Amino acid sequence: MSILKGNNHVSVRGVAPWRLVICRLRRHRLAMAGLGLLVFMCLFVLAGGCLVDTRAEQTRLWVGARPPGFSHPHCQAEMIFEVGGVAPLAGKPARCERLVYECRPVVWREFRIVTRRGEIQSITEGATSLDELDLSTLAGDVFERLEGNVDGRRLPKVKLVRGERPADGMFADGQRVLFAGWRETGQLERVSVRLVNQRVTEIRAGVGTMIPVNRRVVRGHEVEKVIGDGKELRLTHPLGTDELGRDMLLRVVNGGRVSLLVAAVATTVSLLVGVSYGAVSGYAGGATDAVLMRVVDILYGLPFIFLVLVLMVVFNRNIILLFAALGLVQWLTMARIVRGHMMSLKQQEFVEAARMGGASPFRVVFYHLLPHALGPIVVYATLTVPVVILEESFLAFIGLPVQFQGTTLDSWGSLVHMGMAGLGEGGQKWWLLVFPSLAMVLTLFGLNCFGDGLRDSLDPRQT
Amino acid sequence: MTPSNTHSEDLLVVQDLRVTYRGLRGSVLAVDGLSLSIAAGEAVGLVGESGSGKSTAGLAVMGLLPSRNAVVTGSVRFRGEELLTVSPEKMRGLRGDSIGMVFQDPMTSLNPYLTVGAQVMETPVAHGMSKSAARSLALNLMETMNIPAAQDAFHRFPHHYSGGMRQRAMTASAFSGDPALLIADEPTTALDVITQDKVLRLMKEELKRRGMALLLITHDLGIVAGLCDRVVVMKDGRGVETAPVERLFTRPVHDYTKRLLAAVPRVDTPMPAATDQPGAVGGGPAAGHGEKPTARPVVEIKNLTVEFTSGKNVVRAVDDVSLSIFPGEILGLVGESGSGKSTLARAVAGLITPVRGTVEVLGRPVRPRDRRALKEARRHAQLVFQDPRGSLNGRLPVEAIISEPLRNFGLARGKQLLERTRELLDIVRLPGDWATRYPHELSGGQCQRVGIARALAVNPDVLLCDEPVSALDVSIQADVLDLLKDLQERLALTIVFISHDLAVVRQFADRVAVMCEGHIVELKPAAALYATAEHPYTRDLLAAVPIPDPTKYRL
Repeated sequence: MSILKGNNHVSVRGVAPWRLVICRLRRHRLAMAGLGLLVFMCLFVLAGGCLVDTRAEQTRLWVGARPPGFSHPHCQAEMIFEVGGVAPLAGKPARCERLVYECRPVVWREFRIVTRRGEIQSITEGATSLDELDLSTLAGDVFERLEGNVDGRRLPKVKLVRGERPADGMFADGQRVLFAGWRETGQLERVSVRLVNQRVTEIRAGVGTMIPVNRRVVRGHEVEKVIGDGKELRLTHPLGTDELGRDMLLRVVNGGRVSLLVAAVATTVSLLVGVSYGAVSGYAGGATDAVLMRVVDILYGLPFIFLVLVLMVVFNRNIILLFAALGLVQWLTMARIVRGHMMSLKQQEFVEAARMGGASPFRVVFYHLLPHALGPIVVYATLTVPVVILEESFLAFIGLPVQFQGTTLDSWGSLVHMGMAGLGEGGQKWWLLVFPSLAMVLTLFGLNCFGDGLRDSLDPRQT
Repeated sequence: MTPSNTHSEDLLVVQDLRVTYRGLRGSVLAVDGLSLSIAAGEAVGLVGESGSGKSTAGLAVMGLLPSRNAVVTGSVRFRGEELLTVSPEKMRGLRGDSIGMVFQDPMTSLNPYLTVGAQVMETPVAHGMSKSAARSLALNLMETMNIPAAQDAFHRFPHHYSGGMRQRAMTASAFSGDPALLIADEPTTALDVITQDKVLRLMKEELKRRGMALLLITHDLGIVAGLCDRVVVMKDGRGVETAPVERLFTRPVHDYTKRLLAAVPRVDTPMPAATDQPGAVGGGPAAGHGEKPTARPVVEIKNLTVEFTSGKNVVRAVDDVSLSIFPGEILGLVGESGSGKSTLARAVAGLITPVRGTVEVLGRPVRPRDRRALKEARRHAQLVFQDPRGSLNGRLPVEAIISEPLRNFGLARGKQLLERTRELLDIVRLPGDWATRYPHELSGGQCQRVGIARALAVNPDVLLCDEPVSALDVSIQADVLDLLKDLQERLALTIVFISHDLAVVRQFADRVAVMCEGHIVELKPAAALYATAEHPYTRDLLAAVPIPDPTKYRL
């Protein structure tokens, strides 16, 4: 039985047509470049998260939107350390035995200004009363203080003098208002925490000689530097951060997972349903074909966006549903393409030969005919992926991002949407828009190049 | 070959023409140092089998090869002017005006969106003739080419034309520029014998009247004998022999020419051995073939009618045909294309549902709607197809193609399957280790052998061969026919042999049925049919067959 296995017959072994396709594809530079780009993007999406600390995706409001390359000390919004308690830390710092936070505490200066009949009646800071208050010389901005210690609007830099009228529009008439100005104090403070099995055993705080304390609050925005076991702990953001201080790289990576997953699933649905539907319709012909294709026509008639919107409103924005909706739309074109090819393929003599050889209709369609339509199927599938990514982006863009179990998932489309919203007037926060767009563009470019090369390679006339 | 003498009056002189195609797996030398010359008014035939480079040479002369993929070197001089280096504008001027071309396929070389008349007058208009003058010229030409109702046909589109009419229109369009040289690449290969005869006669007449030179590229030695003054035989890109037509056919010099001439089946030679040794044919069951078969027929066709509907038109492809095929015989089925011979075979194979009538194979009726009965019938009657490559699934290796029926009919599995596949390859004289090859790696003849092996896989009693050799070169044709004859004897097969080539059928079949427009007009033992054809259609058919002998067949 050496026909199949014998090594001595290697020289006469046939070269399968698909081998020739691969051979041609390998010589197609653009296609290989596209494939390389695609593989790179897939690897990036799968493993790109390793490039930065996963905690970088946490919200750090005080960091705000920072440009690429920005790094800041790793710390959380507010941590309460208590001797004997569990340290409120996650990830790497929890494994440290000694943590040192260098803080620059922010001191609040609070002024109370009372107005009456349009004039300033009294100005007080704490218990001391002032004759005048020069807001223009205060180091930081001055805000209106609202209920619950919330900053209101920023106040103009003016000088307030008792007995005089404040600047126009500064207060509503007869209003008593509380202000607060804030600025940093120059003095660094240190908090040193010793940990055993994530439990705090000792806290020392103060400047110079560190005094042991029982309880200490460390606020994220006050921290200048974190040192764990002698090493400085910082988070770097190669692609910058968004307005909530979250790392853009992680968001792009996570968004890519969703986008590519949606694309892959929708394309698979379109392949499975569209190919079998089209193949059966094209091979059967006659009345069967007419009925099947009219169903496709009707589905074509339904506006896709309307369909998706209705589905999303009725069943919430579930990711599974999005898959279903996108796939259900995509298979229609695939079915038509495959049907057309089947109709011309089934007239070839080898189909009659297969029928003469006792092959069942099922075998004729799926074993003999489908491999011949593989070219257009593969090419159309590679073209479906970008379409689905774009459609999902469009949905995210119009404010219907993918949701899974109640949480909104990022996708490239939704990131671009947010990037555009937060771009700023002069495009200062360009990284919010550029990186998600770039990821999307590179992937689509790679796919299109690859699909184009694949089509060329599958065309036997191409040399 | 020796470079031909380049007389000054020679119209076209080709010297050391080389064409290299650049492909994925390196370059292929398609034409390897071809030299030939054509004097004014002379008809030169360029013959060779497929792949010999004859069409490439024709295209190279016209400068129609894609410069991206083909490298042309050597010299092509037309009236002393070098064509290979001439500017594209000049070349366009020469094409049509000085050199006309007729292509092989009349279906695709006419533009379906333009009226035929517009295409015939295109060349003179492009070369500066006024529209009205060109119109009358085109009409005139179409009348000369015997296109019926030329006034009306002028405004019709190619799909209104029959194949022969299209080819005549193509020829008219080639004549329209009144060129000095006409290059015709297989001008009648796609046509029926009778139509071919008509077109060739018209062409010849017109060439003579205008004193036009002809370069005829063809594989058909019969046409060359009838039409040409001088012949260049090509093989593997080289011209192996150049001779005046009389000498070539009487005293060929080169071995290849001799072999080629010997392989051509002819209708005029004394009847081959088949009639002399009838016992050799009935090697299987004792079959009284010949004039009065007495055994039970293996295939019984009764009042069979097959119709095709396209829109409102109903075409009756087979019209009330009754036929009995007896065990061990070879029944030839001849006729023009569209005469219903292939449809008849497909109805017997159960691939087409007849409107009326019955087909019985070994006494069991073939009913296309009854899948089980059909499968049973196909175990006994198998089909060999016309297109050797198109009938094989190009995505499957040879072993999968051959073992497909074995698998589907549940005749063998596992180790047995491989053994039987090998055995079948051996039967059709292909090496067993070719099982892993793919159809695109086989030649046409090898593909047809695989097709025969597949048909034989189920051990059928009847083999329906639908033009099994018409797509093959003459020498390969002879091999495949030899194989079929051998198989018929060894395996006690009954063969229905469909062909449009009367010479092949004459050589091969015991009985011959002539089909015309869905009817069997004549059914006789082969020897009797060719000697004493009764039906006028049969006579026409026989008279139109080109004979590769310029002394007997001259247009």
